[in-house]
Amino acid sequence: MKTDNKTPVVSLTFKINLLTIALIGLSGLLLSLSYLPIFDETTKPLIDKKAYAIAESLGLSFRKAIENEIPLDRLQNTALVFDQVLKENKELKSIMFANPEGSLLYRDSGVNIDKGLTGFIKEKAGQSSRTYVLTSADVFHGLEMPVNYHGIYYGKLFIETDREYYRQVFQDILFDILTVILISFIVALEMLKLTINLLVTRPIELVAHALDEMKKGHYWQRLKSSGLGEFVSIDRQLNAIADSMTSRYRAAAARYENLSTRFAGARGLGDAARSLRAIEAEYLFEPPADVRQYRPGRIPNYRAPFFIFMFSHMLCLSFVPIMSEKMYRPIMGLSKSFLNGVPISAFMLFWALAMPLTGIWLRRLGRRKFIFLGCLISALSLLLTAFVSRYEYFVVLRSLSGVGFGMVFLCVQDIFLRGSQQEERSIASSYFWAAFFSGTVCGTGIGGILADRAGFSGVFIASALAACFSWVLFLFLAEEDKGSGEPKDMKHYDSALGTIIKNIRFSSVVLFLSIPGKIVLTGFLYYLVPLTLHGFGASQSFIGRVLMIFSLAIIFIGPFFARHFSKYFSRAFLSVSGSVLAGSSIIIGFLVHTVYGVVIGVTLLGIARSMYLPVVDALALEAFRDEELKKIGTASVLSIYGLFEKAGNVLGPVIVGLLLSFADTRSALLLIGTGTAACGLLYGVLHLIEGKKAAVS
Amino acid sequence: MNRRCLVYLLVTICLVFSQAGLLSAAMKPYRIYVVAWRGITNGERGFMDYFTDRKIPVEFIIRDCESDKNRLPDFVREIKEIRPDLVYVFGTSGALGLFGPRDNHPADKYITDIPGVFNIVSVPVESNLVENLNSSNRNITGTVHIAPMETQLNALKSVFRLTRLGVLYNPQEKNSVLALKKLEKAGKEQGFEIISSAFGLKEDKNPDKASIPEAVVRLAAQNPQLVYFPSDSFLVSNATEVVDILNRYRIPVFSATEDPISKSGALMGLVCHYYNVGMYSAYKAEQILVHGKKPSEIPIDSLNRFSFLFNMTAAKKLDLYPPFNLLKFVEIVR
Repeated sequence: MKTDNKTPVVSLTFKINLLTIALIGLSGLLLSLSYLPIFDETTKPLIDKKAYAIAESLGLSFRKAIENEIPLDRLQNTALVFDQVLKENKELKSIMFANPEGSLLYRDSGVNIDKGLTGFIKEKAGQSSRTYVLTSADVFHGLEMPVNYHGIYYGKLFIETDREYYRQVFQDILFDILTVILISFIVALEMLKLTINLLVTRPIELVAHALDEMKKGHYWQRLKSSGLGEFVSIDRQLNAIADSMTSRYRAAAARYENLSTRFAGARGLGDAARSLRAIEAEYLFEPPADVRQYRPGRIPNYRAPFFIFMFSHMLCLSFVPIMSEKMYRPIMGLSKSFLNGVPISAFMLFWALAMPLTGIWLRRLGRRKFIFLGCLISALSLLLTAFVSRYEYFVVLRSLSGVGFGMVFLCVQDIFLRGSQQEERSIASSYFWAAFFSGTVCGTGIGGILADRAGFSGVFIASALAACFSWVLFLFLAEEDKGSGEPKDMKHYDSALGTIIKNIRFSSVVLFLSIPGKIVLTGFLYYLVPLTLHGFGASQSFIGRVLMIFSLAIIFIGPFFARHFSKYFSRAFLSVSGSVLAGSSIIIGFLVHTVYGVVIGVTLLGIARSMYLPVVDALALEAFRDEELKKIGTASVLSIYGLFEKAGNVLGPVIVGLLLSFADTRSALLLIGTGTAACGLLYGVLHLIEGKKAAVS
Repeated sequence: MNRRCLVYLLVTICLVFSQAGLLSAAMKPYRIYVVAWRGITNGERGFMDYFTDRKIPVEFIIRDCESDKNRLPDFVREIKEIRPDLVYVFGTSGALGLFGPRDNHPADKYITDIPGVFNIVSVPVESNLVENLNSSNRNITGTVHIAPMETQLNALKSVFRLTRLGVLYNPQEKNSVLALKKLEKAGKEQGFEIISSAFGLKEDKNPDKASIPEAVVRLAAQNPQLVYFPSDSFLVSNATEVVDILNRYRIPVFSATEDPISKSGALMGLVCHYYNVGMYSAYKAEQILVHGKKPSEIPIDSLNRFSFLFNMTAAKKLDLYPPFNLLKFVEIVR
């Protein structure tokens, strides 16, 4: 809300937001702390129970050997079995078996036998017992299980539990808790913004506007009561004042008419006439011819439903390639790596196709219909994906999801950018992208955690429910929009396309900055990163957090670059630096081919993208002279630019999939990183050459 | 009155006798002609016990080839004379001798018009007995008793790091020859060597028992890691002699069938118990005899579960014990 002085509404909103953040943070922390002792109490016995179950199972094999007179020191593969058990049960540290003489017959390959442990085992193995014992000593913490057969003691199994495991588990859970708290903030803020806008900001802005108008002497406006709280009586009182003023004027005017008809030319009438004219000059009791309806606070209403919609689609972002890998089966001789990327490309392709087709019919049918259709298609396709087990059906459903996503994306973008007043447009744009990125952050974070606990199907069911919820919000908040006019005429775009593509500067922006940037986004971030981290054994929660880091870097660092660096560096410089940094971040993944290398790479990639994201489309527009731009139209340039960008989205997983068919992951990272940096540098060189040519001419 | 009574009496007597005839027809046992290959094995016992357990009246006419396929034409003639309700046969050689190959089984030479069930046949399709396992498209059905070769090799490799596998086989036994071919193919794909040794043949083309020591020693001299026994009736019949020779060279034996392990001292194998397979064959015979199904409607398959047998006596002699990871699953025999 624009006001000259800081009004109570602005500071009230800020205070409410701050209070909400504090409450959520505090309650989250308190709840977590209160569960900590319970966690400790319940986890330890569970681990001991597991150790007991494993000891029993291993003991059965030893007893069978004894039963069949197999010498206990002649068992093959025992150490391998111990290693396998430890691999599958991370809470266990070591497994050993010793005979009654205290000699260690078998142990896993990772156990470190020192003097202390040897002495401990010798002592304990020499003591026969009938049942298991839980031991906690300096050298050993775990379970001792005797192997008895028909009352004779044959030796002892030692299963050590990992004391550090609790801390590791808690650490993992802590990260999940912090992620959930962060996402709760964001969700709560979005809902709060919506609620405040509906119940506070908008009614106050309307009242303030009405008072401003009355101050100017305009009494023709009436407030439509929102029917909520105190504003009902304020609206009525203001309307009553306006009615009263209007009716007094009308009464005075009617009386003058009456008197002037009856007593034409009477002396006092001249004064009355002058007074009436003065009133009519100063006050307005009827709506003017060029009336402009004041409609504040409409645009923020769409932010929350769009946020929820984005959230619903981004829940699965961290595991689509992993799910695809699980469903893989040979198709037409295509490689597994290629096929793993197809579902992502299919989503991007149909998103790209749905947008222009929606755009053509949007004006005719109205945004509301497309939003609802898009939400319906999204919800259905996401729900069906929860039950799919065949690869082909998975690809079809991802394509459908892309269609639904594209329809809603375009409609909401249209509302934000074209539906807002001129002075609101930059704010509307920031709302749009804020909802886009916060939905992405929340979706990827929660999706990973949910996938670990509820499985992939659970996540898709949750996605479908979220899409339905966004539909409900749109239903209540979206304005009636019946549509007007004919379908958009595409001939204009057809004729503009040739002119635009022939522009070398535009083409170089597209070929060397925009498309590689999108290839890196969909091919590296959405396809390669989840698969690579999964290959390293990372949990889905962790993968989701890594993808969150990327979006958070753009949300928090992007505005910093936009505000500060753009003052000192040119757009071209920022774009080239961003591309080179993006390429380098991927090469880090090649050099440090571990989980941490990938995390660092993704973080740097987020910083890189936030450097060039705000400036690349401006570079595309700058490629044209002013008169060219006026002729072609900014919208045409941006539409065609957007189309090429989306081609990059589609190509990303395809290119990476093909690379992986011929090379390993590390080599693919090196190639993608080098390629991206090289494209950025190439653009820089071309930009300099074009700049020099322009200077010469 | 007297005439009426006489008519009533005659009708009653007719009814009684006809019912008796029906009952006696119902009580009449099924006649199953059983052709054993090398005496009554657990396969035949399982087959016959199935009917006994279910109180299905059956009369078994038992014949034994005594491992000589030249006896089969006589059995064919007898079957054509006495016309049993069903013919049961053990093994591939017996089945081919009675029913003929799928692409050439003239009715005058083979049994075509009486339903047949074969038992303990390892590769019915490759033996040219049937076209495919889903339906024989003939008047026969049966059971397979061998685990797939890949599964057997996996079991074997869980105990040994396979580099050099020896195979003894009867060149006249289709099962044997096919198993050897499969092993040679697997060896090329999986990187282990196959060395084989065939038993000698007599003039009548039957395998020669006297050739056993030479064949085994010839194989042992090439230092195989262990020796594989395919499903080969001659080999199974003489398994004890073969195993004894191999034990002297401390070469363990992996058998595709049960008897060499449980009776002859072979070390181990992934097998279907003959008795269970016999019962499964009897189940198919019941489908034909009692429920009126055609043999071509009954698929040819095996039991899904196999037993990993490990002979503990052989293990002690060879000082080779089951690996710890398999202890819970192996079936120990002595």
